[in-house]
Amino acid sequence: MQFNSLSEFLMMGGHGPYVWSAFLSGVVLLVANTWWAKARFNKTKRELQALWRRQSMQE
Amino acid sequence: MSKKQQAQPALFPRHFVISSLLGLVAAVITFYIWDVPVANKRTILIGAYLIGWWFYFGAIHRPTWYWNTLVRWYHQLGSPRHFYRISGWWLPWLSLMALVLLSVGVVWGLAFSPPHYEQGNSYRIIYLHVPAASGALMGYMAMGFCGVVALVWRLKMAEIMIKAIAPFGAVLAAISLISGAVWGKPTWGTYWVWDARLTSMLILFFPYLGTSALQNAILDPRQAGRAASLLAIVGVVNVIIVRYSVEWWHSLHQGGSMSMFGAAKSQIHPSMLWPLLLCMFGTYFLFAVTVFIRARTEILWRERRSNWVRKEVEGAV
Repeated sequence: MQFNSLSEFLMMGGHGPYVWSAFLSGVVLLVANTWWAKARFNKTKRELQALWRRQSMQE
Repeated sequence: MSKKQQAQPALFPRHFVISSLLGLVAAVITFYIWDVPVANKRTILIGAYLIGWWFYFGAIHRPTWYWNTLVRWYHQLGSPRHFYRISGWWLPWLSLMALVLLSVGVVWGLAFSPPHYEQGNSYRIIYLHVPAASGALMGYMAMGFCGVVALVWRLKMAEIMIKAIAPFGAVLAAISLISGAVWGKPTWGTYWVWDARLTSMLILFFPYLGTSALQNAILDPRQAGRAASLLAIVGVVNVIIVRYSVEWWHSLHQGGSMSMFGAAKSQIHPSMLWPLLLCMFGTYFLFAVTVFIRARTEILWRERRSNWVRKEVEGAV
């Protein structure tokens, strides 16, 4: 461990704002991207089910 | 390979030319990825040449086991149904690997690796910046390769892969630009300069968005796939420019310091190199995860008229 306390870890010797804003934006983008891909997958499945239900009702 | 087939002199020149070309392509890709110094280039060139030779002889003389394996791979990789099934098995493991590697790498890099002797703690941004940038470049190379396969062999899966790779590639390019700017402020004194490396990386963003936009704009999926593959191939030129921009021009951006061979064999101390490598491989695994999820979505939609999709979707709920 390179830091003695939590506040030292958060400050990062004055570079804290840069390091944390970079990592925060990166993690948010990565998580949002993965979540979005998974949500689209589930939505496509639901859309297909709705499509087939409509088709079977027309028949 | 039988003796009778070996004694066919008429085939020799064509073998020679095509296997040499294949070997050359393999060698160039190897040099590109590993940044090999001259002393090792000869060894790898010979190795790659032999591999190209072996592939081509195998394809011409078709020993049963070799040919069957090749044909099976081609059909399985090219078949949406097989891809859907196999990617379903792989996804949980790939996700687990991405999660473990990224969390260990990030915690190690942020808290346990030593500070840089000049930059202090701001250098810790490389644990985000380098994996994102290398992922964006490698993702683009993969997209260009899929573009070639899609145009030459008209493989539906290759078109689907282009569509699946583009969004995450754009996200990684964005992350590398943002984190690079935030690192530049305390280190260079500025968020942005119109420098060769930075500008070419910004340009990489556009073909990523362009391939997505093209595929969404053209209604016929096959036609859209062809247009997107063409754009993907053209954009590969820019990837090469990004890669060598720090050597061709006087750039504010530093040159690469990771290498697998020779004198430049990595100028990074292991205490910083290991967390960086973990983050890089974690990013590649995450790339695979999102590409698989997006490809599976696209497969379900494109194949919605076939029975197996209906069984898959109705059976799951």
